Amino acid sequence: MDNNKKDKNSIGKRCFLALLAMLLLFFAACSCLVIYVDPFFHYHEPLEGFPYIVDNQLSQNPGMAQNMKYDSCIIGSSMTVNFDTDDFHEFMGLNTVKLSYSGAYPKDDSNILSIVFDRSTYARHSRDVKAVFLAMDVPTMTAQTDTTKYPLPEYLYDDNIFNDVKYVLNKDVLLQYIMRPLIQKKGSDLSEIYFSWWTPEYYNIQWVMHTYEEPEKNPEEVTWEMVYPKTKENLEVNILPFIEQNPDTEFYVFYPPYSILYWHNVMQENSYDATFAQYRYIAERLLEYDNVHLYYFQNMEEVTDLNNYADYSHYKPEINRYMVECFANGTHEVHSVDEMDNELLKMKQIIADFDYDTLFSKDW
Amino acid sequence: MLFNSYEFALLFLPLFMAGFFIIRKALREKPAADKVLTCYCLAGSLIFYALFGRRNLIVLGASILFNLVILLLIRKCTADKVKKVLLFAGVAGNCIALLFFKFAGVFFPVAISFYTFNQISYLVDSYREKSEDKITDYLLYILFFPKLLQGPLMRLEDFQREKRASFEGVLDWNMLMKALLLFSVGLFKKVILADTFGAAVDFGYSSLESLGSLEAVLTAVFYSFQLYFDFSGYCDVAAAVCMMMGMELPLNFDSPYRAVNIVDFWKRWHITLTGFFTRYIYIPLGGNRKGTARTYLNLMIVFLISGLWHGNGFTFIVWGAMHGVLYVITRMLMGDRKNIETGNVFVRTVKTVLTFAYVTAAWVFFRANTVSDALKLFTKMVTGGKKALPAGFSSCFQLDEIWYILKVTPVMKLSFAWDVCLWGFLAAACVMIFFNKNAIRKVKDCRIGLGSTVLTFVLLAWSIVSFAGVSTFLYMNF
Repeated sequence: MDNNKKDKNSIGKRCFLALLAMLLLFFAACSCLVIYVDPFFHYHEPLEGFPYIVDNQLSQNPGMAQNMKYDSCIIGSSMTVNFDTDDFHEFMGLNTVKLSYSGAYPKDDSNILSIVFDRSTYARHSRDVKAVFLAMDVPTMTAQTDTTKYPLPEYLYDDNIFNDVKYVLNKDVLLQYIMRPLIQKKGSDLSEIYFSWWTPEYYNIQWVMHTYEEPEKNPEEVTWEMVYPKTKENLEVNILPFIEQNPDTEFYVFYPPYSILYWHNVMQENSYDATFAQYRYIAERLLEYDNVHLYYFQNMEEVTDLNNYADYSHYKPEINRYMVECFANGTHEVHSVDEMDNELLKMKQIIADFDYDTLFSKDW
Repeated sequence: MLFNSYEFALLFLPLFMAGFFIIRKALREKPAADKVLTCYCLAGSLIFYALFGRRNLIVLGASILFNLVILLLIRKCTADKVKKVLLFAGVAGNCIALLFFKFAGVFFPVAISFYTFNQISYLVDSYREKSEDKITDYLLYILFFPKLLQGPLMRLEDFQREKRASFEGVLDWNMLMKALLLFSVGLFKKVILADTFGAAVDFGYSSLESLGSLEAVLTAVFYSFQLYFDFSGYCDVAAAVCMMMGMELPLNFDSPYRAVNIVDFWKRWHITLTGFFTRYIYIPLGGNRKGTARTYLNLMIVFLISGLWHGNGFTFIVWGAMHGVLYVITRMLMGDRKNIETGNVFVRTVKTVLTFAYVTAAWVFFRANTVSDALKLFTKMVTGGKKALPAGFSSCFQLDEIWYILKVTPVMKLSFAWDVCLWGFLAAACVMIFFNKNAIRKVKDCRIGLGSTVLTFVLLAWSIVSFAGVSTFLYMNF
């Protein structure tokens, strides 16, 4: 009986050692593969010739900001996803990386800008940041200053190497970002990453109006006093410090050309005057800096034609390309608060002239 | 710290176990062994729980402090009446705290339902048995990390017996390998099975308006599977951790969906909770000693309380009532018969299927946000019509590691190729649930060798690389 138990114990010990060895080998192999290929660019610049798939803003933006070679970047919400970075090269001679976060709050912009301007990264050792193209989404400026749109995979944003285990021993990373591209042999075109609604069929008035959900009328007016504190705080905490601390970088800040329906939402939310005051205030604060180029695109002719949109705010890629041309030649640039007041007056006139009644009276 | 986390599986558990084995060996047969090992396990358990955050730790600390004061007062007091009042105050205090956190909507401390029940059990047993355990014994009974989060609920005397066996034992490599096999099975149940079924269930409940009949039925059935794999997976891991230390936890699940009626089901599902309710609610209410009508009333009360314990919505009361009503009717029909296992294979199969269907129907209320949502799901089962399963539902089962392989096989030429993973998961789950022996029993009987080692490796490796992005254990919120 004792011998039997001893035998079992001895087999058990050998099996345990075998299991330990197998697990260590497996984990080591997975880790080495992930670190070598590094599909989220967390450790090093991309491997030459590997067909990287880039489709995950939360997981891949920090690595791209750290370890890619670029001299300019696109920051902001889904208003920036349809920029083609080749256009920036064509019109401005820049090597641009897209670091958009769909639905970005100011804190999301701040998080990624912190990495962009981190002097210790490979990206900054190789090149300085000549330009930042930042979409200024006014509706998000009343968010909490420390709130991100989605929970972040912290292990890809911090310097703690121990939590990197979530990256190096991760089935999705191994299968979707290493094995899949290896099998498909086709990676993402970095100039077009994160493209959404990029085919023409998305852009027509029928689709926009059919899917449009009109907000309920807010009986209480949203006043400037209500939106001012958070707008100021977000500017001062999440945006302006980067502009101040990097005087050699040109910041192209632009108000994206939402459609005329956006202004209907503003009126339904009863925040018309407060919203215009926000636009003016943000412009006033930004124009204090010599390295800021401010663009107001919202009173472009195209905003009243809903055939240019996929919904009440998302415009077609041709408009993105036009905006890059403007960044290069200065069209729509606002140089002073007076000019901004003029632009806002024009905007108000467009809203006043637009025939919302006819638009909503039709059955779409 | 969750069992299905890298921190636990790759760091905490190996370090804790290594330390435990070393200390146990070094202090073997020495008088200080019990004290040192108790303190070591306490320290480990505190670290384990502390990682859930300060707020949780403060509530747990307050609960321990309150119960310690009551316990010491009961021990010091000589007058029986005063002791009784103290016991009442202790039990009431625990219940009020639990109800407060359940209904006040501030935040819900991790594992409060489980440790509160352990506190009550300890107070009542100490009062009844006039025990004089050391404070460290009490603390370890409450805090011991393998059973802290979701049980199993265990009586003090059982815990003390197992603790002694563990502290006086020696490292048994054969048992360690069995424990690792059970650990890997538990993780696999949670990470691969429960979370996969869970994703489909979430999809189903988020699209109630557009469900077809088949999808509605599958949503309900999959939730039954998810709940079982989730909770029994946790219990397997807890049992495995204890097995590594040479302890045996009470069985909490005994193939519950093989039950032939609802009475049988409650002898197999969350067994230790049923035991707790029987000992501390049903029997004090009079049990079956006060006539038939009172017995049935007591049973209904127990099931309604059980519903309340599980959640604070009306849906949970409906769930408890559904179980209570059928339990009472079954008891009426059974009369004095104690033997549940009657009938031939066909009759047993029919009974099992009907019991599973009823339990699944009750789980619909358990899972739905509102009674109206639950009724909508039932309505869709009948009126949803014949619709193809939506891609979002089927794709929950297309785990990359399986789907990539299937895509290069002839299976993809079949008309139902898109759903093949779903049916594969369903078939595998049915085999495990309805035909396989309970995991703990199976592991105990298995022979350790090359096959079991490779199986342990595959399940462990597969589960661990699947940790990122997986959900938390369902029962931790109760």
